[in-house]
Amino acid sequence: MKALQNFLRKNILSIISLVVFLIAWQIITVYEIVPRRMLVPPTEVVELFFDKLNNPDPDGATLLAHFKTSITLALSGFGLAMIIGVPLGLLMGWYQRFDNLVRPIFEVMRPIPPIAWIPLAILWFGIGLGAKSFIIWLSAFVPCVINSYTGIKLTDPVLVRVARIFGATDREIFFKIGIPSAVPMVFTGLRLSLNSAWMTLVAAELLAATEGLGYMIQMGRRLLRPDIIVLGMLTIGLVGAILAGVLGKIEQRITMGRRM
Amino acid sequence: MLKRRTGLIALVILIAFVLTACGSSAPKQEAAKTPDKLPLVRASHQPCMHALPTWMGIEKGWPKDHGIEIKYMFFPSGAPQIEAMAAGEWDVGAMGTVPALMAALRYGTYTIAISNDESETNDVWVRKDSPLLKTKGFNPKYPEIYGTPDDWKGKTILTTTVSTGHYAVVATLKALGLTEKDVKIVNMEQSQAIAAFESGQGDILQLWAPFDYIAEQKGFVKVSSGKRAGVDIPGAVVVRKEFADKNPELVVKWLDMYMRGIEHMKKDKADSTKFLGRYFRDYCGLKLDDTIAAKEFELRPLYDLDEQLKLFEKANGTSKVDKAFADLAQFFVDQGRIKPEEKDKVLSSNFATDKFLKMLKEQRAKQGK
Repeated sequence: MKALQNFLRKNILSIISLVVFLIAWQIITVYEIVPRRMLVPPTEVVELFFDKLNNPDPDGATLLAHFKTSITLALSGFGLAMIIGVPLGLLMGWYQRFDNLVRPIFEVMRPIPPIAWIPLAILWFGIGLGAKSFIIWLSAFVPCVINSYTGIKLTDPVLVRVARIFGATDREIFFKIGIPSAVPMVFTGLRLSLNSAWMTLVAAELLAATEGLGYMIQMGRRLLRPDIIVLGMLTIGLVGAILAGVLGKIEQRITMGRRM
Repeated sequence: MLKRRTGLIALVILIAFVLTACGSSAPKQEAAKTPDKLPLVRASHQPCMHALPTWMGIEKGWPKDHGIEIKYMFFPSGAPQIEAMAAGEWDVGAMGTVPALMAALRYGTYTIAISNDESETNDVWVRKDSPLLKTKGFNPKYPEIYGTPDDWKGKTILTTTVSTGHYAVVATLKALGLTEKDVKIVNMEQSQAIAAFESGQGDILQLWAPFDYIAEQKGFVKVSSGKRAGVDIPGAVVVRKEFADKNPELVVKWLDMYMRGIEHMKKDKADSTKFLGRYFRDYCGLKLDDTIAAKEFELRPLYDLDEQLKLFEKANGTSKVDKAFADLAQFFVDQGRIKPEEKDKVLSSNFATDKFLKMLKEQRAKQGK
């Protein structure tokens, strides 16, 4: 009971803003300040949510099936971005020669929007999970690299000098001082990366999909069903927030006492 | 206390701002008219042959003859076109049967004429080495369809779902005694589907014009179409309900010019082919030459005013147009895309109407045309 009271006290403003937002949304749709054909009331979206738990119509799959497809896709792209992006950023930040070698290619590729890669992704990876994961990987990869790079660059030079004085090798300094000091920034990068991965979902599912939250939004568009579009959007937003929260908790555990 | 009051005022201002901003976007321009200018009709079209009557009309300076000014609006496909219509951005336009049906169901639009017959140009393609090409006319009722049921079973079909193309694919499967469960349907946009198919993905490709001409250029072979599978896919001429109800005379004026375009296309194919080629290349940015533009005239029958009226003529309570839309609506019910009651609602609304064609016929009769 006390925990609930504490929670309410801490989050009262957030709860009020959410409630006001939902009430305003309901009012502007029910009283047709915004025509019904442009926006549906939240109550209809909630109704559709419960219907879509078991009903695959009209967009071809249940909400759970769409969710499963999308989470598999997003996490596969994000996982690959983490496996490749973090070590790459750390190496670029630590070894100047490696940075000189990789940076020009990275800088050219960085500003290209993931969606522009779709035609090439089809040619290279076909129309299965590979091409879609590649599109997501592209968007998730950049924040991983940049934050890992910046994180290791900010390693305290005093610590590095002390380690050198005590005879540590460059490799030892990299693993025992550089990487641990970069961890908070790496996690910030991972959170941004997960966010990007989840946000690129709709673009990735433009590519040969038959299920997924992005596909669900597309079908809503073709069937002129704004309720399906809004449900897809809210699910993407909610799951994205939950994933960010989970990653934040992991970060707290790992970096406990490390952040300045 | 002061802080609380300031916060409250800020909240009220914020809500008022949101409501005002939203409210102001709702009603859009209705047939803008100034004393010096002719009334404006906003026409929406796609990179498709059914845009030509309007586009060519503007190029030839016809709108003035009909007492209107036309704002030409271009959309890549039916979905964004309908979204813009829902926002009140255009008044009249041409599109495929699927967006026309969906727009009628959700927004009460009218289908006032048929732009062309698209049954043959909603088609299905395979590569030259496909096993489907070994057999033709397995079902004697459908002699132009290639492949046996066994050839088709288990194949991956790249198709734009919830479209007339998808309708043609399902009709083809039905003609061979199959259903969608016997194949793997993969949803893709048309241009992406061609690229994927070219790179070896999928076994069968569904397209519509003008993308199917690109497929032909690449050496793919047509194995079926809506027409070959026995379904009618007419192109629809659509008007926004609010515009049509308020300005029927403007609808008729624009329709007069649109029909003049169709009649010119029927009469002078050589001239119209040049215009269509230019429209595809210069306006739409498609790499299609005049030979392909000429093919459009071969494959897509056009209807003049009297032929249009016949298509809408009701025999036993149903016209040919009604039947085409009813069959399509049933397809969507079977697919679970719309509910049976939604089908009944849209079909009973008589959204496909010859009211404006009849008004035009009368007007032309008065003018002695």
